[in-house]
Amino acid sequence: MKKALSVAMAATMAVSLAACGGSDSSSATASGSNGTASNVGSDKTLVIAVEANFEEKWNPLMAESAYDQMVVEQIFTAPQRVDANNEMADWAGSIETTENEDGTVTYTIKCKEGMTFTDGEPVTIDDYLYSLYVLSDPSYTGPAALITEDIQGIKEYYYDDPEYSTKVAAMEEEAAAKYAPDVISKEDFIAYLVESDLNGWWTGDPAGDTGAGTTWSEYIEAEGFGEQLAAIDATDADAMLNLLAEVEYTNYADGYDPYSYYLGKMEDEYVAGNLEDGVDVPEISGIKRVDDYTATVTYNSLNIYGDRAINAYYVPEHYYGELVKGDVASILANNEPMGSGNYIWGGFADNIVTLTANNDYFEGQPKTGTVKFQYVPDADLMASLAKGDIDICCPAGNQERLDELEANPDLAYQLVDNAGYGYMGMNCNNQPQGVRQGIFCLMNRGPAVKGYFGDLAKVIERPMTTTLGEYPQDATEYYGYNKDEALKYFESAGYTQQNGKLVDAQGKQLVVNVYVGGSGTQDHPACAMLNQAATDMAELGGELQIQDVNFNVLQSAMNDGTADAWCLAWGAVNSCDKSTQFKTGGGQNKYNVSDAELDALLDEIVKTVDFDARKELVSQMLDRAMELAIELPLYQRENLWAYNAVNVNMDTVPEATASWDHTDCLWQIEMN
Amino acid sequence: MKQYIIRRVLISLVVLLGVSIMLYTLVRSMPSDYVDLSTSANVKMTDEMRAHLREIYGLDKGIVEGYIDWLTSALRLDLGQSLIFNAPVTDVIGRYAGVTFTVAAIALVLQLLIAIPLGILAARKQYSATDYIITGLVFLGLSLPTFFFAAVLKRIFGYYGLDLLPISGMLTARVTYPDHMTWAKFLDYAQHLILPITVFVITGLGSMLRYTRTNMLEVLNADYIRTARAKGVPEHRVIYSHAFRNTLIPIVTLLGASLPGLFSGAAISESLFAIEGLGNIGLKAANMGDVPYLMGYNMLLAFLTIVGYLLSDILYAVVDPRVRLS
Amino acid sequence: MSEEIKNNPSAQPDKMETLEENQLFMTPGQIVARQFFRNKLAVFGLVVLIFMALFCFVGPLFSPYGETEIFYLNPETGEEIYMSDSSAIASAILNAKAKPSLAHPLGTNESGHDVLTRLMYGGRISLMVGFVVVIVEMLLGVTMGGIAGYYGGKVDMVIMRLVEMFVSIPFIPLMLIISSLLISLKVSPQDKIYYTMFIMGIIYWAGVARMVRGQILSLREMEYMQAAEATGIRTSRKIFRHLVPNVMPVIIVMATMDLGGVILMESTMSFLGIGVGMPYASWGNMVQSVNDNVIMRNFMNIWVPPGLCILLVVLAFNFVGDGLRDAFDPKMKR
Repeated sequence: MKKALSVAMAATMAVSLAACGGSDSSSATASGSNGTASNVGSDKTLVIAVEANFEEKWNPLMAESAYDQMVVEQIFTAPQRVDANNEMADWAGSIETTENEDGTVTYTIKCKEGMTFTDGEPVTIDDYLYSLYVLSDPSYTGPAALITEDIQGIKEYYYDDPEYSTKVAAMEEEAAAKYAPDVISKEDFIAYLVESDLNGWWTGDPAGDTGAGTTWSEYIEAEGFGEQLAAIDATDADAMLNLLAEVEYTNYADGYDPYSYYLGKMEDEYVAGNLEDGVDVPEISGIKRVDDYTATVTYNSLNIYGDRAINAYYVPEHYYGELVKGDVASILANNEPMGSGNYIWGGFADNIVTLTANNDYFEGQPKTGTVKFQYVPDADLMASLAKGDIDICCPAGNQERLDELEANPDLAYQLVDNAGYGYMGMNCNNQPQGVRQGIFCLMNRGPAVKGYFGDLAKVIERPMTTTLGEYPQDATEYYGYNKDEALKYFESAGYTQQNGKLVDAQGKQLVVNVYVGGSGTQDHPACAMLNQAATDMAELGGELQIQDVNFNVLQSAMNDGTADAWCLAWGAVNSCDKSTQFKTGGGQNKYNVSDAELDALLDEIVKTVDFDARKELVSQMLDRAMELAIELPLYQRENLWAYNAVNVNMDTVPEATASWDHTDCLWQIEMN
Repeated sequence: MKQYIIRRVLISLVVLLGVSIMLYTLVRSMPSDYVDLSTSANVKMTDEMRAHLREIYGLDKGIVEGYIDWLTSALRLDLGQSLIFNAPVTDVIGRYAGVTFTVAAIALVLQLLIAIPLGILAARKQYSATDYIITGLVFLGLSLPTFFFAAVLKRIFGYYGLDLLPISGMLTARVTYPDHMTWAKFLDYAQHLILPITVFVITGLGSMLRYTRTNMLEVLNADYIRTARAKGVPEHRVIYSHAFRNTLIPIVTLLGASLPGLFSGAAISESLFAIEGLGNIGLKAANMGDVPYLMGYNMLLAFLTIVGYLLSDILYAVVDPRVRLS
Repeated sequence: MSEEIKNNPSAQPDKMETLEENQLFMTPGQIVARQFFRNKLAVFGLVVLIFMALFCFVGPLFSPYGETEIFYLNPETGEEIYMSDSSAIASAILNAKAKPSLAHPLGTNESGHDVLTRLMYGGRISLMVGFVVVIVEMLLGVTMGGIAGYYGGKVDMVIMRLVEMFVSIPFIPLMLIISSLLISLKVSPQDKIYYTMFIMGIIYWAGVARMVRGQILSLREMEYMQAAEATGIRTSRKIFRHLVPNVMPVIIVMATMDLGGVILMESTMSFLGIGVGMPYASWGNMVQSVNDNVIMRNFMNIWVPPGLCILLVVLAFNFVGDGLRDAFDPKMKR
């Protein structure tokens, strides 16, 4: 989904003027029949279709779905926005970055003077700070929480404890003193293994399965502890666990991390609810108000995307209600948005959002008096557009639709790369590297992608959207479709073909499941590819189980680790920072990948300001990710923006890019 | 009679309680919850933040504790906040019940108006060409999935076909209507609802017609009809005053059973025609794990189902004096 | 209630005329069969069902292709490439949405499968799932309904309240949740639909139970039952010799109609994304293509055949059911 994530976005005035050409001729033509407004289009209505139901969260700090956000964007402004080149540019203010000598970074946010909210009240920096504080509040439930940002004092504020940093440091010290790998005693280590159930491996059932097709007893014997096993009662769960802890300590101590375990535990105990005793930390130390139109935000460390994170809307406190720490629910429940953007909220009914022009908008008076956003199912978009019921839409792209748009002279379209890409991910905890690599070699991506999208998508070779400048354009195919190659990889993971079956040392057949959201009707670009792979896999003697499920089921299978592999797409990608996905412990690291080399590269990337150096690092990082076989890139697709050229003045429609389209300069769109 | 009704009402309350327990268990046993689903695309989400959200939404509680919480507030008529809409469940249901009810009620009336006369006709002329044509045509409606009819009707009457009717939505977005109902706005609504209502009628007609036909056949074979005929009562009087009256009994009870259908909405038709109604939202809620909405909405339907049963039992006793209530 | 079928042919005086006319002795079964075959729609239904069963279960033996086999094309020569040709398919394109031809009489679908072959395999599932639901719901429903109707009183009260509870559970959320539960229990994708249908049967017993109970209640009031009562025969004999045979017609009719209903239910589940998953076929998931308006408008060969199959089979089940109902009930003859 386009723009699914950040609450604040959009682009510069300069670029928008250039892009949305012809804006200065607005009042040249004769006035409309109503005679009251000076603007030609004030009596016209522009209808934009959206392809999914609105979630009806019109609060600027709660809006989450791409379509809710598309509406909210029209009603609010922020200091900066993302421009057509996916760079931050000034909008209703500015953000300046200063790298301090101590390694901290200070952003200076300026609010444009002289703007007003649509109720007439002036816009000041306080409205920006109000936003930041709501987003940082412990009771905030929306999608744009700031707590993950490295802003000075935000943890103290969130956990309401002025001593937060010192206490955490003390805990780290305490954990390190006792549990660091070089100091930990055998007793402590064994105690940790027992307490953590072998880091979650132990199921509590001594007769159960290790997850690799052997019983616990077999495993212990294979590890050379047969004698000890004979000495204990193999049905006694505690005795077995203790023996297993001994085995693991002796043979695999390096694979465990007692330090992080105990540190996490201490933090959890400490973090549980601190607000009951009243507010101890009323402010975030890193956020400072300088004057009515200026504020500063200080980060502890350099992050090239810090300015995007703190670019929040101006949200009027006088309208949304006084900020009370720990209780922002009433602010978030206000569903009648009011801001300083180019359009004014007019209401939602019958699946239609109505917006009216804000004639005091700081960039200029909107050219069209009324804009409506209507939900139209994807299947009906083309008919509605051709009939003239709607003016602009973004139908799911395929060749037939493209041909239809070409054939109809009343319609116009633009193709623009989607800021995202499709991929197949694999869970490292479930399948070893060799199996992952082998599976990747069975994926015949070309015909599947071409068959589904036609010319509207191409196969990519690295897991990143090509809309980012950092994408390595010269990268070549890493895992080509090759059954023999696949077999070699499976063999490297310890599988051999016996009696037509691909089995491991214990004689267990290779079974890999893959989750895909094809709705039973092959409605997914990966379907033909998986169909082919399942047949090939059966031929090799393994089994590829295709689980064709709904999105929510896929999500849960991916989250709880049931899924070995899954096909999904990343959307709204506007940064080359893949830390949340690929870094050890990352919030979206469903691959459960933990690789020191990859971690180091990821850390380096967000600290590298120089573009060429960063691009080189990104290329290395992606190569490493490919080698680990965690994410097989499938396709980069194009979005299809379709317009009814009879209704819309196409000269006022900007040239679309992955980060810029008509919704970013709606005030300039004119109707014929 | 009074005693019977009181006892039945009391028992129905127990049944409702049972349904609520079953529903809550079911809804909470979904493998992923709202927090997982709604934050899945958010790259910044951490497990800690998820746990925090669960605490705020009350999803961290076990099924038993959660149910008791739900029940105690539901008894105070507070159905909680819908997680998707971030608004009280009662508000959400109130906002969308109108369109769902309108479509279903109009469709029900049309179904009755078509099914009863045709059913009687088919029964009178059993095994004739008329009977075959009526039964055959009406069974078409019973024999294809709803979405199939919706797609075919859209194709025929929509832009690519005859271009006579709007194929989705409830109002023309281009036109700005006042908030209150005007004649023009009413007509616009009506135009948009023709196809959805047609789909409802087509798919619902079959069972009702078959019901009428079967009952009519049974009545026509009864002794008193034979007696009436033997007495020389004119045929139309036999049919309309003797037979039809007795066919009415089961039809009246059928109406009781239609009660929940008036509010359940047809999730599939609603979503295909882009009508924001209760069924469509219910589908979305089920896919997103919106526990409070699912509970509120489904309990409303369960309540109506049970009221419907109660009504039809009582009505049956009222129209048929042979039925004894004890 | 009203759909009661009172099967007591020998007691009917007008039946005697038929016997005299034909100068033949007919068993009740023969009478039913005769009545049934007089109904043209019912006979049509029976013929359709037999044909479809042959098509789905025998047809695949004559198809050169497999259910999940996909076809490619050489982009230069336009020659068809089979999926086993691994060296050639890497650079091939998918032979998707091909027009009907000799090799593919109904063309190929959007993933390059042969539509005719999938129609046969899809029909197997669509026909078979129905039996799962019907057998389970009938076993449970007849037992519970029978107990409630026969014993009455408190037992009846409790069972009927249980029925009300089950009837009040809405279909769609239930299906969505059950389907996701099954997946999290690691049921294999091919078997999932059968498990789902098994659970449907467990839930749908309520309707059957209601019907059977009503039937038994009215049978108990009949003179012959009171006579049986008066002679003091054993309970089991009363149930199996006198009640069950008289309830059978209702059960058979209901079962026939439900078999058709389940096919529609399966397609609704496919619409919701919880039916038979790719790459396997069912009529329900094949007919979903009707919702893709590109296919709807340009590729009739993809959506019409499964639609037609569903229509014919469901109609056929209904006609047969109706025919049986009329045939079992001698009073229906005018």
